[in-house]
Amino acid sequence: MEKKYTGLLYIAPWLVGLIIFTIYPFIASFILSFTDYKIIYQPQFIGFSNYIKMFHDQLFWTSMFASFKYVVLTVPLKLIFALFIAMVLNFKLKGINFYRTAYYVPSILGGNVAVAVLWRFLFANNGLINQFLGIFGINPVPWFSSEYPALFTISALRIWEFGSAMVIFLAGLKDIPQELYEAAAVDGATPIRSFFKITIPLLTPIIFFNLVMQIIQAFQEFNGPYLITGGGPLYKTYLFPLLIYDNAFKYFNMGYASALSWVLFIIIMIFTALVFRSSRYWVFYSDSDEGEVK
Amino acid sequence: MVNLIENRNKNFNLRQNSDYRKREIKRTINSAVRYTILSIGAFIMLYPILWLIGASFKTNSEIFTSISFIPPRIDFTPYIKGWITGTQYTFATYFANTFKYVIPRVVFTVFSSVITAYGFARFDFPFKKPLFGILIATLFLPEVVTRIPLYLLWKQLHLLDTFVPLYAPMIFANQAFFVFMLIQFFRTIPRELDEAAIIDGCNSFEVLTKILVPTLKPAIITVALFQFMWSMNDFMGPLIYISSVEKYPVSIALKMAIDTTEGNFAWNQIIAMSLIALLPSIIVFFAAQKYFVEGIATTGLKG
Amino acid sequence: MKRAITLMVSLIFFLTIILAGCGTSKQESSNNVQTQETQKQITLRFSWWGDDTRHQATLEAIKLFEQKYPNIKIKAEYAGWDGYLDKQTTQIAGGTAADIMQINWNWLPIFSKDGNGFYDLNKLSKELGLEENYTKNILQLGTVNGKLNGIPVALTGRVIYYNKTVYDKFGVSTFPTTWNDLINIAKKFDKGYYPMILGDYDAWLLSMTYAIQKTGKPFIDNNGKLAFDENDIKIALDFYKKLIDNKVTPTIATIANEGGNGNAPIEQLPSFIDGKFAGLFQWTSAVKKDATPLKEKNMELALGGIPMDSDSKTSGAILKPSMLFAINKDCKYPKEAATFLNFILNDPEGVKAMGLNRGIPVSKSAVDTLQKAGLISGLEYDGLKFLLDHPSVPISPYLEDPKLQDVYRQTIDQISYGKVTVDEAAKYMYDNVQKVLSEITK
Repeated sequence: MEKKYTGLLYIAPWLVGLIIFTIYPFIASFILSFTDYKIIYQPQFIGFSNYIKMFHDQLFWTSMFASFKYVVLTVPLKLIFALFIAMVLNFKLKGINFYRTAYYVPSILGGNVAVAVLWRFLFANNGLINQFLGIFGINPVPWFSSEYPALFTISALRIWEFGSAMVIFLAGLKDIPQELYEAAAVDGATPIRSFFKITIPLLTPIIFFNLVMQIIQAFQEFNGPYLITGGGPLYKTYLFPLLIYDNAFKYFNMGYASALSWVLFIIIMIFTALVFRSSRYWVFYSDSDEGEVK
Repeated sequence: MVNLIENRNKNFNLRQNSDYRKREIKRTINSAVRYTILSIGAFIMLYPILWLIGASFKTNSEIFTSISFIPPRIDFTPYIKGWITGTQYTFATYFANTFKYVIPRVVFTVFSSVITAYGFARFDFPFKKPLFGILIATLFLPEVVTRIPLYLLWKQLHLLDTFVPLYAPMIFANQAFFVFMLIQFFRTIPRELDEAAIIDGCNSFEVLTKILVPTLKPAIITVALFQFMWSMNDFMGPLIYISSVEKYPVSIALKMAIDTTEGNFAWNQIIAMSLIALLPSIIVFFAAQKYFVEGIATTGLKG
Repeated sequence: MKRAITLMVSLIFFLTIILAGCGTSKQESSNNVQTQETQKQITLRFSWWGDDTRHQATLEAIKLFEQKYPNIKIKAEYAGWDGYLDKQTTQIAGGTAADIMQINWNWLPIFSKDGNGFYDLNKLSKELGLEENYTKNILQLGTVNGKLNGIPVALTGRVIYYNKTVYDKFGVSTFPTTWNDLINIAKKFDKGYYPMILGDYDAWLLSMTYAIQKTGKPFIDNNGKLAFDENDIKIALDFYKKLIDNKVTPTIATIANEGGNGNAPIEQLPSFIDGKFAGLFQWTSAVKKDATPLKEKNMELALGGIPMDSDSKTSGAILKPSMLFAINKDCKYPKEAATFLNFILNDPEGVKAMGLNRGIPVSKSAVDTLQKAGLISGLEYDGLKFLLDHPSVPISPYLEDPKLQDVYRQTIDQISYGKVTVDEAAKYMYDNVQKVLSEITK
């Protein structure tokens, strides 16, 4: 009897916070999504108008597709990159501390002024990258003024700032007992085999976490396009959160912004649910036989 | 016969010897390759910082026309001027203000997130699945639309223009990112560990503090580290809740320095200050390094 | 185990109480101080955005004011431009905005559609010295629905400034005075050099200026209705097409490939700093930041004005308040707030302290004071003088509505990227401007 509620007691602080700090603003924004709310005037109830309006809003579709493309482009590349570097940095080498910090530095920079300026030096028409490509006789790529290059330009920023995912992988790698590798080596397993048979399976809960979080964060990406392309060219990098922000604090359509946010909420929820559903087939938890929490 | 064996032995020894030498060479080459790749990578990753350092010694026009990181001259005036600022306070005040809410944030986050994650990861209780679903769902809604309702909430509580709105939610494990992350880490630890401890007479709280927390040290350090660095950078939170200049944190002071609407600005000063603002994060990260390197004492119990 | 849990739960409640407790007690104590001091002293909150020099000058003016009026204390709440509108919006929504606010001109229709969003300053005419210092036309710019919502601090307008050094190099000694001449000089420029750089918003404003000259109509009239018809818009857009076809300005793609047109301002573009983009259509109040990097490279920026053909009906000059000072509609001490504004806007002592950090003031006594001190000169003043000498049709505050700005940008971008014909673009723009205007003025 007591055991049944022990867990509930441990999550009590979170539950209290949920009620105070989360439920109220969530409900408020949900209600506002059915209103015409210009922030400084009283909200007017308008039923489903905001949701209907979306289907006729060209920008809604443009930015929705842009966000999908961005997620597909960024998430896998960033995860592979982060895992690869984490593997490399997981060795005991002299001076490894320095290297770990060095690889994390871009993530500390975040949206610093320098990043935008540097990106211009790299991706401008006569920038470093085009000069480098020129060596191989490749024509300059219009990184800022054509759809896919521009999407890549902003995703490159986030891929380059892979530090957080890397650190989480590193912490996960540290949890894998060294003896397993030693035992495998005795059995004649190659490092590559050990990687796929030991590292990856034991790391799946962490990979799963990073995957879920990266998908959520990529759908909510704002800073990259805001800093680097401003949504251009022709709204090709105008990701969904930019549309939400513009409607909220630029056009003062908080009602519409709330409705857009709830659509985004549903989309992220579907994706997350899919990943959770799939996790039972590929995530291995050491604490149970059957897998996921949900 | 004997000769033959001897010969064979000799051969064997020789082979072993050359094998050993080969391996030694291979290892040297291996580590040389590894260092080269690591160093090239590190240079690319560090370039922005190097460029920033160089740029803090350049003029406005030099900054935007040269990607070189080599400073054309050495002059620390931008650092001094930037530190003093054109406001009533120096960066010392702004740093002190930042730590006034960043440190409580880190401490509260670590404690509340570990406890909540433990509850989710190790216990069964009514409504666990829907509650876990809600936990994850709190990550889905963009912050822009909850900003004003939250602001009104803090206004009702008469806590505007204080640091409380910036750290109080952390007492309640309000950032699902950290809770979810810790849940995943808890779940990489076999339950046999807990069971063994319970047989030894530990209660559930002691299992957490004596067994699980030491095992999860790298993950917990990660939580603290992330919270520290993200809170240092956070601009929107303090901007909305703090309105007295004497309470401004570094992130706002920096944006204040970056204001270029009037054209009186010196970029090198802005860059010098943004470098100084980055320092705490870099130092803390570097210092926390060794906790990732350290192996875990209890690994023997695993698997 | 039970004990541990009880302990934990009570700890949480304890913490909650402490936090809530100390928060409120702090708040109360500061309230007490305020009420105690009300008898002899009042405090007014004053919020503004700006850079360090503006902060210093304003803080100095506040100090002088507090010496002169020891019973009024001004609490300065200043910040950078980034996020200022977000914060202002949140504060206005929460009813916690400052007593005295520095606002942008195009925020008037947003925060005060009916004129009731801010205190009606006409009621404080005497305290503010409105009659002596401001013309009716100037005050009209801060008036919504007959209510004076804000006092214009300074005026700003768009004029062309050009890189004299580069123009000289290509044998162009003065800036062209007609549009045809402007198009012709582009031929004298080397490949890779352009007489001007027009980002998408600049491009629209310049093209609109051209069309206003040709038609004599304002783009949006005083009632917030679109005065241009589709054909007038086409005149403007045709003109822009001509500018890019004749390489007077680089295309949007070319500018974007330097990293511009997103969030990189012109003064950060290497081609501008190197003199390859040798002119720009800039606000007079912002020209300093373009002149500085050029000066570092030993190049000189000079006033080009606005070209005009002989058949021009008007100059098309765009002139607006660069910013306004407003008083919170719920301000408890509007008279004192007005006294303060009068001090910094009109009183020689305050004016001198404030200097030119918010642009060249419009207040007559302020101009007198600063002129006597010999402070008014330079590119900004030249540009402003040009605009005042060439008056045009009035400009609507809706012109710079953020959503309309996005429509202009989108139209120009589509032409520049060659995605649509000018006819299609004109129709797109006409329809969308109508749509947005009907949304924001309803």
